[in-house]
Amino acid sequence: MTTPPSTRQAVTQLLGAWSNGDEEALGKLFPLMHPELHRLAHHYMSRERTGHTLQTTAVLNEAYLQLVDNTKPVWQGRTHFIAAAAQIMRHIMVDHARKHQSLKRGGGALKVTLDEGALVTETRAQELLDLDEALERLAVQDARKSQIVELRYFGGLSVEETAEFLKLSRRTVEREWTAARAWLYRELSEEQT
Amino acid sequence: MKADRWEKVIDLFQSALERAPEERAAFLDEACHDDKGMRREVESLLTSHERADNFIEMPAFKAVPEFAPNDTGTGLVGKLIGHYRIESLIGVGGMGEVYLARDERLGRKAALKLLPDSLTTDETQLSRFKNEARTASALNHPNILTVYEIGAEGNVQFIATEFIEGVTLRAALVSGRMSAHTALEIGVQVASALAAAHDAGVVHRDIKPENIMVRPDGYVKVLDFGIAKLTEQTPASDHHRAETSSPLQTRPGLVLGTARYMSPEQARGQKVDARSDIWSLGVVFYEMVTGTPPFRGETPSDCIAAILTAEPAPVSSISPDVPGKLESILQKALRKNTDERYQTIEEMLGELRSLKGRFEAERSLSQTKSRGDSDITAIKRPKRAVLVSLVAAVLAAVVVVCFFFFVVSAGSANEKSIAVLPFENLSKDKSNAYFADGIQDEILTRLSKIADLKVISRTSTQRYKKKSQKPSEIGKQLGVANLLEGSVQKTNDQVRVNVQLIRAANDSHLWAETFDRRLTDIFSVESEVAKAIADQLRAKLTGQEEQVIAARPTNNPEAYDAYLRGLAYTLKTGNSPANTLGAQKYLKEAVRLDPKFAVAWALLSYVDALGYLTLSLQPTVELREETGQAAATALALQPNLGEAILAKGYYYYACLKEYDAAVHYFEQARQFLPNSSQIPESLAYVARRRGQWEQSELYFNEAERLDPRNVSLLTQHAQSYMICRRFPEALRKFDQVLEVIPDDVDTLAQQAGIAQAEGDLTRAGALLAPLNPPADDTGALEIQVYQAILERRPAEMISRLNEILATPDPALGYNNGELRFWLGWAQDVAGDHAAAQKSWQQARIELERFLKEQPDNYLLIGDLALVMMSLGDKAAAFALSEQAMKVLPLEKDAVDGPAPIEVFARVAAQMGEPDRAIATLQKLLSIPSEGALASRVPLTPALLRLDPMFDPLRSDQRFQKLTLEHVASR
Repeated sequence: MTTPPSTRQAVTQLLGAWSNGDEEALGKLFPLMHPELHRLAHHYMSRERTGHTLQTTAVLNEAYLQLVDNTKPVWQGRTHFIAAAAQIMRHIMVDHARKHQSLKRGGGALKVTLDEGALVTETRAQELLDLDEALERLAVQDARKSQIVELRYFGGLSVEETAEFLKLSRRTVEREWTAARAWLYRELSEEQT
Repeated sequence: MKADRWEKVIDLFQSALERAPEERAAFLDEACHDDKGMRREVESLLTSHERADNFIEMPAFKAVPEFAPNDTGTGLVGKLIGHYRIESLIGVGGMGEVYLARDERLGRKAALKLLPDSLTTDETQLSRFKNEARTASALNHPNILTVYEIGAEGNVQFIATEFIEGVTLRAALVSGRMSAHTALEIGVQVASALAAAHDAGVVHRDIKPENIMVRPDGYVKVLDFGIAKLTEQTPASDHHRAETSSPLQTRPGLVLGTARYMSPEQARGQKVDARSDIWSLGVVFYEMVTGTPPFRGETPSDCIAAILTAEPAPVSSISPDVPGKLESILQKALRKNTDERYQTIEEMLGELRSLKGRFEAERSLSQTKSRGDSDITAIKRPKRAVLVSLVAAVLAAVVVVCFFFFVVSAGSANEKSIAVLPFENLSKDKSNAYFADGIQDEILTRLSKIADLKVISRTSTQRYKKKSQKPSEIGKQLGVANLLEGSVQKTNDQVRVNVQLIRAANDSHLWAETFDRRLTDIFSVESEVAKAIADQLRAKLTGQEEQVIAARPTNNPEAYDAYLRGLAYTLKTGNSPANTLGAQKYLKEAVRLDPKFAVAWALLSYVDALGYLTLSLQPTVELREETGQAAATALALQPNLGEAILAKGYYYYACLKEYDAAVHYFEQARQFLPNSSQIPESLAYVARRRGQWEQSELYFNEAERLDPRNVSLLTQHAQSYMICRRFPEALRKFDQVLEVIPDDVDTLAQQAGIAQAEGDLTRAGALLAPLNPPADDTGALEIQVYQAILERRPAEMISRLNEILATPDPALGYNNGELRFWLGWAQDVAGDHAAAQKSWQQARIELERFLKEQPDNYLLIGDLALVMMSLGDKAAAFALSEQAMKVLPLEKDAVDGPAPIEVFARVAAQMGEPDRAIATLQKLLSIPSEGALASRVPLTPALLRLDPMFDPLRSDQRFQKLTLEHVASR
């Protein structure tokens, strides 16, 4: 699969604009990165031993090479690409969950696929939406923790990769992640009661 | 919350987490003073942390794939396709989206599978899609998904099928392995579906858990005939010809499907027939009863390699409760040679059915026995009980999948699993600790011989000495439902033993007892405790197991005392000379006092064998003979003693390098030591010596499941990765060791060694700087010296080595000569050539002394070769390095074999033979190899760049190329 040069240029430019603070650029990146991220997600899920930490970076790097004008590789560009990918993945998934909720009010029974058996329930969609909202609240309180969760949960990055990406020590990421998880878990379980 | 307050909360939370749970309250008292709100906040985070388990640990697009990006999303909902009204997207598969739809004509639910637009123009995909529908609709069987209709609406191709409420077998397996009976219940239905398909001339070719649906009522449906092939009708006797030949279908060589479940012939891209489905069902079955697939790999190609070459770990080694008959059925289904497999699915189905029948009969009988006559329904309707358990399994899976945020893994621990924690020594005399350890170990050993129990090895439990962790946490970490705690008080010849059996999840006591006995009567206590626990956990005991539990290993209390002291040494970490010598001394004492003490003979043999292999004892001919004799004595005294059979295996493995014999004994020992991680561990060692790295890794994984916190096992696994130059994985495995024993000098030194191999001297230096290895830790010491040499500023290490060698420890044997060689090398790099020559001459004397009595010590011979090289004696250096290669040929030992080759390359580099040096280096860089020096890391381009011994080659272009090459890890 090759991406046309025009798309590469556009992605590169938009990433640049986004990293300079142009929030709208992310919205425009969305449709351009979408198919590649789909491939990424599919690729990731079909891996033999899932959860292997180095794969996400490898796949993201591959997506990056596909999507970005890499005639002159810029490390900063790659960094922003990974951040954008995680953020876009979050948008896409939360959006899907929301649509799912609005269409399936009153359903609730288990539905099953013909061949791959992804199980869709109201609960899962609602949980994803709750998590997203809790993550918003966390961002207000502590942006870095929120970003670590976004990178890890939506971007699929390992602790090591997150540390490398945020230029933090592995230990710091581990600590922040632990605290963020505890906080989010509490937020979500409080909503339940 | 204000930013500073938030920071304080997080800070306190993190500080509290670093403390032991029982210390947290006091810490918070102090830290929060009167700020109750703050305290509540921190405590609620701590509680959440405890409960969060694996909350959001799995990335979203894996945990909730249905919301991950896909091409069409839910745009079709509400639309009419044919006479089907789309209600919702229920999944995305490899071949397109699947929707829940309502058949408006017949008013029933249906599942509608759509071929994506992008694929309808693809002729191959379209044919595959249509072929799926045709083949599936040709089959009419209760266990095969019913196809209602194949159709097209405009450009959209669709298949309408019955809608199944249930979960895939994949989802049902999320909560772990199933009982053999539930697996049979499912497997028989799958086999029966396949029998119908094969009968109609259809080979499924993609049997995997994702394609098997389990309904809550226990019904099983086989799906996805997507790559199935409608074969020519062939006579039943000619099954092998029922293969694929359609031009639209998979061409030979084009690999489709999921690698893990492929048959060897499929993986090779050869033609497949019905027997390929038999294989795949065998794989699925294996995964159902063990919870783990038989063939695995990091990548699909690794996995395929395993399918083609590796033998899966025996089912009984993972799930000892699986009936032997089922195991042999699976073995036959998983024969790599198609002619040795079941030739027809009917044949396999017949055996599965009769096993299932027998099983049900036995089960209803045992239920009668164990439950008494009150539970009439269970006796009268055993099938129903099975169904209930199946439904429960399915529901559990549904719950797990639905509430992926809140999965609690501890809930899945086997009820019959137990960890025997270290016993507290309450004796006034603190030096009696070995005695408490010994009682614990004896009880553990007895329990571990009961196949119906899952018992965690002592090597994993011994770290829980300090009572700082909650039972629920320990249970979770070790994956067990029950814990045994105890204390021992010894005064003169009286012993008081107190034990408590605890349910880990809620800390409730199941059973407690205090025994007051005379010392001579201690074995009866151990037997009684083991028996009581077996009863409490409702473990079924065979007659032989009853005997083993009740056995008295010796009648001589003094011999037993010596044995316990020796045993305590073997429980320490690391094969250091000091630990090995301590163990050897007491075990020899034990068998002197009671020459009929079989367990002590076996342990002595094992200790000797390991000492011989790891060179922590001086590997003399005499030691080798002692090892063999000790094992033989143990076996002669007690032919059925698992430990003795294991020891014999170690003698063949470690002393004789006769691997076939070793494997034979290890497999034989398995039946007597069903819970022992030592069996897969030993098999992992043998496999890697034979160069079977993938197989070895599977055994390591198996051993780690039984023994998750065994540092020596984890260390060996890490070293395997290191030898294969899989450095990131090695580092992570070493991190796991550090989680158990933080700040361990040897582990940190090994990590530094890897940093050196990666060319990162800064990181290596940072890791090494705080370490202060003692004089007898020659491994860590040499890594420090090597670091100084690579940095080319060895002054500091020279004085440390001089200090150590001023009073050499004679027990270290040839290691002193080796250290002397390093001293010479360091002096040489520092420019003090005169001192270097003196050190090397001394090293030569110290090493040559051992040559005669240790003819197999390749490290000693290699050291001497390097010394002669340093002294400029080219002929001697070459002769010695060739001798080392002969002592340990690569074909005989893929782990240590490369070390003498590295010595040869170093000699050639220094002695003006660049052609030979470079050719040898090229070879070394292409194979997994344990290095010859210090940390034993394999040579890498980075080390070639840094190591001064290769300086004579620097101007050679071929060498320069080697230093730049990227070495592929394997």
